[in-house]
Amino acid sequence: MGPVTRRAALGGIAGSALLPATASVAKGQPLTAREVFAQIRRASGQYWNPNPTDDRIIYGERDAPVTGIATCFFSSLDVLRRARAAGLNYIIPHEASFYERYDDLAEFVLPDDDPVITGKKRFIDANRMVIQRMHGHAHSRPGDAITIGLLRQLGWDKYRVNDQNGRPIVKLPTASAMEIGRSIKERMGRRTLRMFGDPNRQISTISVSAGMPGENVQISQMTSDVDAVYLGEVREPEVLGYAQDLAASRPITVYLVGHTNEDPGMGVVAEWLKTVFPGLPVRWLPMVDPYTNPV
Amino acid sequence: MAETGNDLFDTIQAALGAEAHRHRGIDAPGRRDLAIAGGSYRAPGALVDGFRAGDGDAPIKGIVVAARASTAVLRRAQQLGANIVISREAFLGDSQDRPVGKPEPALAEKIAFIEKNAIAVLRLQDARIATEGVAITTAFSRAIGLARPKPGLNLADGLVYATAPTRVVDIVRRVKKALGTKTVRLVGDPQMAVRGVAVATESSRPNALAPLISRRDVNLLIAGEVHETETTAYVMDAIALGERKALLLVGSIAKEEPAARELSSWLKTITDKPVTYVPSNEGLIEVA
Repeated sequence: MGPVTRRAALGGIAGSALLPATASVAKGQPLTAREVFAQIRRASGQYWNPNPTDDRIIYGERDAPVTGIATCFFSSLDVLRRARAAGLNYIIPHEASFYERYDDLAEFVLPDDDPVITGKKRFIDANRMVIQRMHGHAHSRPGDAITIGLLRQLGWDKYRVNDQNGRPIVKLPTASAMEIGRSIKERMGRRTLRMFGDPNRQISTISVSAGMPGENVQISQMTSDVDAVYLGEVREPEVLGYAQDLAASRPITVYLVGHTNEDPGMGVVAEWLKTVFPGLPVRWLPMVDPYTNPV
Repeated sequence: MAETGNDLFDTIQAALGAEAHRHRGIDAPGRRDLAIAGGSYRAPGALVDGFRAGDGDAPIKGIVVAARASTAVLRRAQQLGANIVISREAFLGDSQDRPVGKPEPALAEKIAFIEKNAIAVLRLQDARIATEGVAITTAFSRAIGLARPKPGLNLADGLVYATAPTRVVDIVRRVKKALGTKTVRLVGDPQMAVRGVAVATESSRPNALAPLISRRDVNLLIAGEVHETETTAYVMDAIALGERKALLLVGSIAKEEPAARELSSWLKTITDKPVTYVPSNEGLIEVA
């Protein structure tokens, strides 16, 4: 879907239940968060569940005027502060914002007055920010925005030779597992990178998945067709454990890159949103690897 | 003296005591775990102890204890003539070692190896409340110099320790030495001095660890692994708000090595059958 002007956007929305028919349409008035979210849904061309779990306005005032859009992996306080400094108040994280995977605070184990939750809410309130999650609908963008962003960041898009249940297989110029690991670490901006397998083994074919598609998918990536698997977050006894068992009969290399490797995909989402909201500043605010391995 | 695997399990249970109270799927995290298990995840939280492969009624020839009964550990057991293998962590592809409908090739090979060699694998990981059970549950903590947990805690929820001010980086050194691992992941300032340390006794239950790190008397949470978008995210924001917090992830399999060693030493005192601790050797290296 192409660029949308404010007038066209409101024209499309005004008749829906999303806005009262009497909504004022003063020229030059900034879009509200409610309007921006409605427009994202329309422009996506995707079905949005009317009872969504993930991809909804998680927190913030729906009538807040939007000054700009920031996409990110996780709307950490660090990202929120950078967004405020850049004048962006509509935040689109890929993952949950309040430490519970569905941001379902009624189901959360922490009390409502937890100081981190309340501190974050205070910051969001004080800066009239709005958080709208985009998880499934980032993955279901054409080609999966998260996968596209990951392969691009790795510089592996040109080596994509095949797909395995929608997950890419790349065939890289043959190199040692450690050399390829170093390349991953550098390109993904990782401060840590864990690897399983012989670092001197020569490898080429790698099955890639981002984020945390689950044990079944991650184990199924370790087929006899691939030398290595590139994984985000795993449950270690199951997935690393499977690699250990597999290594008893044939070599396998596993890169454990962490869940944040989905971050570049939100850069792809930002590129798309720039075409939807040409009149608004839109930026991807990348995060740094949260981990170090000291000493 | 235990003659069969099941006799041994009875003796172990009597000495280790009952399982510490667990939310058996009725609390919010448990419900969530079960919901997720209906999708692509295999990891709902639940009690796990018991024979998960092989015949527990077979007479004991020898016992091997490991952090995780990997195929390499099972082969070592077979070489040693042991037919009972005790595994702290899950070993059959599912956190509860339930049968997998279509086992992937390496798992199918493992199951065939277990059958061919008439090995019985006993999973033993639940936090238990009698003296010996507490000793095994706290083995990791003691291996890094944390002696006495604060009283009144549910062992299944975690352990909390007060310490003299200790820099995080010094705790990292102790962990690497005790576990033989090279690949810890730290969120936070390695130079921060901590006075309160929490140790997660169960690692992979979504959002079950936030209550440990959010405690006012805890600066550092040590866990095998966490759900990164929950616990890691919480600690990042806590630090951003100026709280003195850190998170150290040491690896779920590696973290069970001290408990496996402790269990092995204790078993030698209750059986005349040969008992051998076999390191699982998680095999991770840091790309540098």
